[in-house]
Amino acid sequence: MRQKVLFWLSAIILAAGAVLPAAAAAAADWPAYGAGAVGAAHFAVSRRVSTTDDPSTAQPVATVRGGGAVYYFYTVYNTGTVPLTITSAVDDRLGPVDFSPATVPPGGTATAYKMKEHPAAAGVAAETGLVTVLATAEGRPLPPGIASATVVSLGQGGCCGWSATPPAPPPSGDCHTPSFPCQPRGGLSGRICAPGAPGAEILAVGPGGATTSVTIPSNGQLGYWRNWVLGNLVPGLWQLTLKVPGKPAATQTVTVSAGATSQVPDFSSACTGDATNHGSTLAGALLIAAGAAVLAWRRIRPV
Amino acid sequence: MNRRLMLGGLAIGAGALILLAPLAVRQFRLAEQRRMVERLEWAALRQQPRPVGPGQTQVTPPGQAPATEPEPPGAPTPATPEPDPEYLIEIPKLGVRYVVMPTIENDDLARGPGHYPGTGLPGQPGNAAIAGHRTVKGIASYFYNLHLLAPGDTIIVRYPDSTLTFTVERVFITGAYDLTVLAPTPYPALTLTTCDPPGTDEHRLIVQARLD
Repeated sequence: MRQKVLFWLSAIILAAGAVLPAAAAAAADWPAYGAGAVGAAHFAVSRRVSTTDDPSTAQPVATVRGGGAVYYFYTVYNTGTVPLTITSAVDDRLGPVDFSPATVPPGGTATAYKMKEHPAAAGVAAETGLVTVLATAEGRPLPPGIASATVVSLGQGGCCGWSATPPAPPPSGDCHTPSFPCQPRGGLSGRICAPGAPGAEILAVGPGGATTSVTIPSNGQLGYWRNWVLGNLVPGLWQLTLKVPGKPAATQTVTVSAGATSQVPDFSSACTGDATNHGSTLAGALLIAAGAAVLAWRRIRPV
Repeated sequence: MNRRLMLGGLAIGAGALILLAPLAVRQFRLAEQRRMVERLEWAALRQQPRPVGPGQTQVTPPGQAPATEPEPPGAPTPATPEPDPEYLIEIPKLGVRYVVMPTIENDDLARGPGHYPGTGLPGQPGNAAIAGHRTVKGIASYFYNLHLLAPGDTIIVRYPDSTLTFTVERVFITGAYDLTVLAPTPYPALTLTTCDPPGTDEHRLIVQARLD
């Protein structure tokens, strides 16, 4: 009896010692992401994007400015030890994907690519797509393999309506942060009465304390409207303050609309204060005096 | 010697041209205004307004059709003409008459007093506002003598088909940024604005009048 118990106990211990390491080894073969596997059959999937048709330039994220073609490159890697058959592949943005070849030997790859024209975005639009690949190995279905990639579309002017070079450093929450839902910038335009020396300044304070200003220097003339423009403004309410030396400040609150330049009401009544141009008066008087001197000198010279 | 004569004459001539240029511009603008006034008066004559009283013509605020006999049923409906924004302002005390330009843009204000866009036409309910230069290049211009007006004086507005008389209620000076003078009024009002002191942009001289 005692011998029987020892026999079965030893048998159980031996069996456990054989099975547990094999189970642990099988579990270790499961990849973390983007792959399907059963036993010795497993595979990996990638989805990469590029603005050229060269697969070597493809990356998980591509940026297209002002619209244009984007190439999507898909790859299935058979990382297992048995042949793999791709039964279906679907891109949730672009539809079915046809891999070639459909049967991938161990260590081999199957590829596919698609092209899509992206329209010019009004601001920044980020589009993340997923490809889901189903495959079988030795007649058994494998867990799906999934991969994603992102295309960032920028407007014609670049990023968030910046006309040329984005400001440095980019403000917090700006479109340079990929997760930021970018909004096109807006602008304001208006006019003020031509200021005397040294000029005038319009200070603008916007959402979140954003501040900018425009200076209108004096050109020595009064009595007519002079236009001003403020660009690259975050949409929202802005307070404008007109500062003219020697005059009280004038303020008004205006709304900046995304992607548009709004007309600001005049700060003052009509510009009707036209000053004498002392420069031209002095020039005329000097010319007459000079001419008279020349004539007088000619007259008295014979004497 | 002849060269010196020529040089002296040229210098004097050029100096005189520079000095007289603002005056010439002013005279040119005033002549242009006279032509516009004559054209508007000629248009008014062709309208043949119907007299409504001794020495008066029919007063029809712009934008309103003049009173007419009711059309018989079934008669074709005539197209409603657009109100003519062109009108003339006359200030008898100052002896001036000007055609009012449609805007207060730089070009229009150079040609004459300008109507503030966004304010109603004179005679319509609300406040009709007109701006005019007081000086041009330092020389007296359209509204130079506006400060001589006083409460009780009259301002006449003439359309091709009607005439309106306003009586001055207030003459005062305010800041350039005071836009309350352009605010709508519950009655037909007329507001004239110009700069003060003349030739500066410091303040605004305001004349407010009310339709009789």
